[in-house]
Amino acid sequence: MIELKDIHISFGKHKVLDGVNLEVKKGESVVVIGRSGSGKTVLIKHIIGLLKPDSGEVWVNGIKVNELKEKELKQLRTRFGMLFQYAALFDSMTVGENVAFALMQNTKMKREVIEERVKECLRMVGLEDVGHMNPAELSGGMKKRVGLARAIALQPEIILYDEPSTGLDPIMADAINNLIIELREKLNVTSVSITHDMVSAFKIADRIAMLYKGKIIETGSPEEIKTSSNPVVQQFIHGEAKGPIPTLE
Amino acid sequence: MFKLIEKGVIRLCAEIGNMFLLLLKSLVWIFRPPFQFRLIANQMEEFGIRSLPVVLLTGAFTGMVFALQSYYGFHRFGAETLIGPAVSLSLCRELGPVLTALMVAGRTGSAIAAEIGTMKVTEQIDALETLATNPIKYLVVPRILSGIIMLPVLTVFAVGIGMLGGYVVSVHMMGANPTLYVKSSFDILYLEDITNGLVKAAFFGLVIALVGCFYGFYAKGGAKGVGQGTTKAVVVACMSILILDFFLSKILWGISV
Repeated sequence: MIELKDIHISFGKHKVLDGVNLEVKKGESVVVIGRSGSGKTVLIKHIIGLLKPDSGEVWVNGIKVNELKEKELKQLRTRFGMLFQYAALFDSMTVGENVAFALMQNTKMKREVIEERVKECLRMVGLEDVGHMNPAELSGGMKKRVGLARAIALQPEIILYDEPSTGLDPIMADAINNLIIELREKLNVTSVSITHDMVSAFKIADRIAMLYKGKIIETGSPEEIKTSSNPVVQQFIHGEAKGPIPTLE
Repeated sequence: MFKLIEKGVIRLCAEIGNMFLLLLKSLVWIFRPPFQFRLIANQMEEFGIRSLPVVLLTGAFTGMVFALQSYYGFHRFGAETLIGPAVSLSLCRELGPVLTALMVAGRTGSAIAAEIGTMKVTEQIDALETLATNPIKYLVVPRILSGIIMLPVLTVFAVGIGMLGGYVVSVHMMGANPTLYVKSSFDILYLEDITNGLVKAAFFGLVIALVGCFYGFYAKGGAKGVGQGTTKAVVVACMSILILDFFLSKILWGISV
């Protein structure tokens, strides 16, 4: 379904991805873990075509994303949903308008149908009565839920999660994790998440991949990652300052 | 030292090049459906109606002070009858379009850069793209169109109130003949004085919107980056207006230097 082949990208002299290879099967939930600044967000942005690699290939459903023209890319993006780290809600619009946005821009649905769909999406994330509110009035957890409602409005096949539990208290983080699992079961979507929260990673992943020094150094099921013999993986999943990963890079 | 200048020149060339690229992309998107009439109307309100008070105030006092200063100048050789023509001609050809544009650059240009810059650093522009919406079509095109449409409209108001201000000062403070003042003010004007002034205003509207959007799109690094982008947008827009004014005047009126 999704395949990244030998992705390289640099920003100035800083090499961020140095030959990333990753495959995600249909219906699978893959979580990419790695330290802050390791290039996880850069990696996920390649999948949806927000960034183009210096070299390498990005394939989604047999389509080479990094060579698509504007119009084709737009078409492909209607099959994606993305939840941003801080939700990235449009602050000039109400919650309802945020969720309705993709439907208004990309479909010819009637207003009443869109309103119904917005209610349905908000209901799915457990926020039925906030459609009239502004994003500034919402808590961090509510913003993420609205971001999720906006991401699923077009009934995507693939959902990308950028740090879904960052900035949330442990209870809200777990609620978001449950929501991700629930949505996956209900909508049967393929999902790629990036996080450094290991509790979240072990809970939502079918498969975990670790990004380190611009490369995927290990992939496996949560159990395989837990029992990995790679000292880098062990240091990271246990959150230890001492080990092969330097504290300051 | 030489390297520093070289770096600066390269950066300037890159900025100008990227700005032209943004303009070209915007021009392409202007003609591609769907047409966002609601967004254009919103931006016209922002550019036009919300800027009107400041533009009217600027126009009125410019006309008044111009009449006042002209009186002292022309009075020395008994040519007070030339005050009306001087005020109307300078307002239509120069002061109206330029001062309106400078005021709007300060007010709306900065607001555009700050809004788009904030959207950029909070990933709202990335979110637009993931929702299959082109940010240039959605954010830049409505602002450019509104700038091109509303700046001439604001200029008409500024020139009108400026001439009225000049009339009030000349007739009620300096004792000029009202009939003669009005007649001479309009007799001196050719149609091209008005239309060329409005064409200049339309170009200034384009520059304000384009520069504001550009520095918003290239903002990075959080609040500081947005602040720097906003400041740059106002400074670059004001300088561009003054430089463009010279060349447009030369081209439109065919003045040979």
